[in-house]
Amino acid sequence: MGKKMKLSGTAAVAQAVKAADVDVICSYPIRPYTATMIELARMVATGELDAEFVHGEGEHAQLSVVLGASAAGARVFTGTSGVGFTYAMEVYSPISGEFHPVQCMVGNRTLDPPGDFGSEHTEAMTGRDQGWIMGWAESSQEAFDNTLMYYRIGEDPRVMLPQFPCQDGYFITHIPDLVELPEAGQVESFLPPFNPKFSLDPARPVIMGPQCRADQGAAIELGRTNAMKRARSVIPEIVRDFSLKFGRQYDPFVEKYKTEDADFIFVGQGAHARTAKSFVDAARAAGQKVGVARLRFMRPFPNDDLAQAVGHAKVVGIMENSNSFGSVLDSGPVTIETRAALYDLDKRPKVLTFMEGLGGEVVRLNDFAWMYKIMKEAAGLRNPNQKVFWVGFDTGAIQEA
Amino acid sequence: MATKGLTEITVWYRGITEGKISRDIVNSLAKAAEKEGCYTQAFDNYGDLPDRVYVPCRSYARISDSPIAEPYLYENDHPAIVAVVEPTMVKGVPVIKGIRPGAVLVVNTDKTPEELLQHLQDTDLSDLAAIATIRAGGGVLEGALSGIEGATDVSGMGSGAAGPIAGAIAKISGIVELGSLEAVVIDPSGVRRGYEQVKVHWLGAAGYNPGPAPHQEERALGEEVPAIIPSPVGENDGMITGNWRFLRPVINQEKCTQCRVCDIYCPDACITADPAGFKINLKYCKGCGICWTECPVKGAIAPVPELDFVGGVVRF
Amino acid sequence: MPEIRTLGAEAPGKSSVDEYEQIKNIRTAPTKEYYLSGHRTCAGCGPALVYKLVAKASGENTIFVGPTGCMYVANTSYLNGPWAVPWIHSQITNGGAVLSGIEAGYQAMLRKGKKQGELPNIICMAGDGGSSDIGLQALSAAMYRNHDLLFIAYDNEAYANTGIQVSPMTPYGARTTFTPPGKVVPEAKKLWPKDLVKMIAAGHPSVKYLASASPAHPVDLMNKVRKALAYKGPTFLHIHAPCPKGWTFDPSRTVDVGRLAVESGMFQLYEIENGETKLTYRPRSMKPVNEYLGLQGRFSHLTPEMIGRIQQFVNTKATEVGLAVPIPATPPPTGA
Repeated sequence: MGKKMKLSGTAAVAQAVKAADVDVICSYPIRPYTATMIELARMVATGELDAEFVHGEGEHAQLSVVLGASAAGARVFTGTSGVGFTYAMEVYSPISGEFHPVQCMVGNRTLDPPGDFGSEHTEAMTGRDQGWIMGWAESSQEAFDNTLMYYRIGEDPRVMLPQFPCQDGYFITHIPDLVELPEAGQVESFLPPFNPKFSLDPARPVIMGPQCRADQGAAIELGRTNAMKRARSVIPEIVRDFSLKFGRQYDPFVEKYKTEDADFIFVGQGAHARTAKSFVDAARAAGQKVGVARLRFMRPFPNDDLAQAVGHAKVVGIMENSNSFGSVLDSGPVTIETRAALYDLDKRPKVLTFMEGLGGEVVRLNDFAWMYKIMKEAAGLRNPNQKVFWVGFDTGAIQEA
Repeated sequence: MATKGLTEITVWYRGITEGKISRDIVNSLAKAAEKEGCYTQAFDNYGDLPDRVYVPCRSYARISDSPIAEPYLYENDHPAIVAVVEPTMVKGVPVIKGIRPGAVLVVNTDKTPEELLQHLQDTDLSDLAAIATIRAGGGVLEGALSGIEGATDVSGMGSGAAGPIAGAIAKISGIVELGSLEAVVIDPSGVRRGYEQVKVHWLGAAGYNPGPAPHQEERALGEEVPAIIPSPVGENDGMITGNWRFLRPVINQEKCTQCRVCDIYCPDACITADPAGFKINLKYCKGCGICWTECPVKGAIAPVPELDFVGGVVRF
Repeated sequence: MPEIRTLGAEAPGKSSVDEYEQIKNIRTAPTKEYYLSGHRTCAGCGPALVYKLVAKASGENTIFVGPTGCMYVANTSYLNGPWAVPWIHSQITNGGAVLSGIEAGYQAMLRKGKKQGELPNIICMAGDGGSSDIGLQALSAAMYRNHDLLFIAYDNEAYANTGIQVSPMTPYGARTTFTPPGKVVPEAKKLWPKDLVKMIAAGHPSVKYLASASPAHPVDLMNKVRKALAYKGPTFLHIHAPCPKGWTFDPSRTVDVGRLAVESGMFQLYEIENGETKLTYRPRSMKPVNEYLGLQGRFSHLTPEMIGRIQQFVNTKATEVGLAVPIPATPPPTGA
């Protein structure tokens, strides 16, 4: 058993980056992910970690620097939050399109406005169509573990995609939590050195990212689609191996928390899912058949696993922590994807969406009780007149449409 | 209205220098047809853009007596009329590839149709009904260099070489009436001259009467293509540029002092400094003329019209 | 433990250049090409000629970064490219940053024994937009951080790939599709260009070597590339790249136009080594700027008064570096 200590999510990631023997790190300050970089800067300064620590001149540069370093064959790390994430947007597609398995952690933060430091997933969700592996941790331990698993998944020759391991700002990035650190040799046995088939090497010259004609474009885009499809089968394999090597169990895509016999299931990801599980424990003690299906990946989206986990429920309640203005039912990406994933089921649960924790607002057990009450009422209706509820802004009174 | 169904017109031109001429041709034909009640389009081949100095490029006109069913294509499928603004392209570029049976070819040149035919000896001419020539002027070196893309600039339409070429097309095909063309251009005398002076060499029975265009091809299944490719060795034969050239540099080995000025200044790395005699790689030479301009020895490198040579340029 | 290199060392004081193999003359220049035949650049393309000379000088142990611009699009339009050495595309915004990343990656991997051999030449070939305009931030950062690399701005004085739009390097008075001359704006471009070399030289203490070069002086150009590469740390070259498409001249005159730019003083050839500026070529007698402008269609709308302003601009620049100024500029009218 490795040493256990209390670490914030950001500090846990720094430990994992060190364990992964990363070669190039590119920094730029923005709250709340910065704490990881501060820790890495200290490690490099003291010689604890041998890596190039490049001070990027902005997030766009951070992503560009690690693109170049990864193309040269180095294992790389960078990270960002909030508006920093969207500032770097131009570079995400070139990175995935040229198959550089860069890792960029995201410490979630609201976009401007409101621009507060609170966690909301919207910023990262704007990057979900850029060809990156993406998912959320619910604890410091999972943030640590995801860092290692994501490198292994991304650098797998069948995948070769960049990764956004995300963690909720403040809740995960800043609140210390128990983390078990690896023993000597454990990480090496799980994560082999990065050895790409192509790199910028004058001994074996290649052309990376040439332009093409419009009639050649789809054939190139197909590459990322296929890589993402292959990731669906590679991920369970790697998560299983992780459990074997480290002794910590994870459902590959969807954590099914007391969902098996549940009539009511919350669907969500990240920090809030942990509170939801506490609510479920209390409700179960009171005889309520309720559970949580926690998404561990947003990309690739686990449509089959999710449908399997919640298909039998009467009502699914989505904990929507990101906003997609003017989208289906004026909801967010988790709603859009979940509704689509359930569409092919013969018998579909009713789907409600709870816009919760936006702007970083705290979601309490009472709030889950309120959501649960609405879910139960909706079960008795053929077609509820309201399907999306803002926690703290809606009364939650529903009736037949 | 001299078209039944859709007639596609393809105009080949040298990038940048002849862009305005080519766009004027397709614009004037489309505008004239519009006057006659046709549905029309005129546009650039998007894949040829951005165009580069001397690269073979295409502009298109599409004329139909009914609404155009597929208005958003990059390329003409099966043109019934092909015009060539700079005649060397007849030799180096497959200008009649994919034509409709019974199509006609109109070339801006002072050569005769028969002279051009010798450059088409290795080409399947079975679908070509006629080759016509018109001395429209506006040689490549006289063309206005302009960075403007898109067939939208109709200012001064039909002045210069565009008028006679459009007039020649009207005469040989009857796709539009001379009067309609005269009404849409700024220089009606130009189109009239083309209409009157075009020389036509019918390859079979005289008369423009194109057959139906072949049916749309089934889509062939594609497969994934990587965004990382191996570097080329020796040359990049994915981009052969020899057919950009209309003047060929010819080295006089007796006068050549092997100073390597031509070699060092060739942007396309086409000159091999072989002590046994300098060589020019005609597969890639674009005929830019830097070598014969910079050569310090008078007459050691001379520009010779590419059409003076039969063969020697690769068709794609 | 191997010595850990930290970015940022070596800024104060002078740096000396390692030995490098100078090219004596055109006749004995290397014949081997690394920028090969087979690219969709214009006939007579100045930037392509520059690329060929740079690649010839830098040789086989080189990696190129190509920010978006003509030298990306025209070279790779059809899913292939003409480089015999590794090349990677970067966005027009981030040439300097991708360049930095490659260098940092190599430094780390060489130090940690993950790669063997020596640091390759790492060169960015950015256009004037990708260096002086949208790429300026990344360029400045790459120069600031003391990476061992070379950033080259090939300057054809406009966004040419998109159809000749004005950039900060476009000269005063030039016609572009964003600065058409008209009744309201008779001179076309109204602003004076940025001085990119001075900008980099003035504020980047890690940069010990900067130079300007012209393809009309190919031996000088190639030697400056080699010298820049021999320096440890970041170096910068500004290379003039006449553009027949954008400047509107006969493509056979590319070298000629480049030469006249130098002879007229519109483009000076110099080095800045450890902070000291030295002209590397002195025109015997400066030609009137009108001779240079007259070759190019982009200046065809200029009045004598506007040409006078350009002559004055050239004269000021020449005086700064101690060149004799034989051509008086037409004095601008009062109030101009």
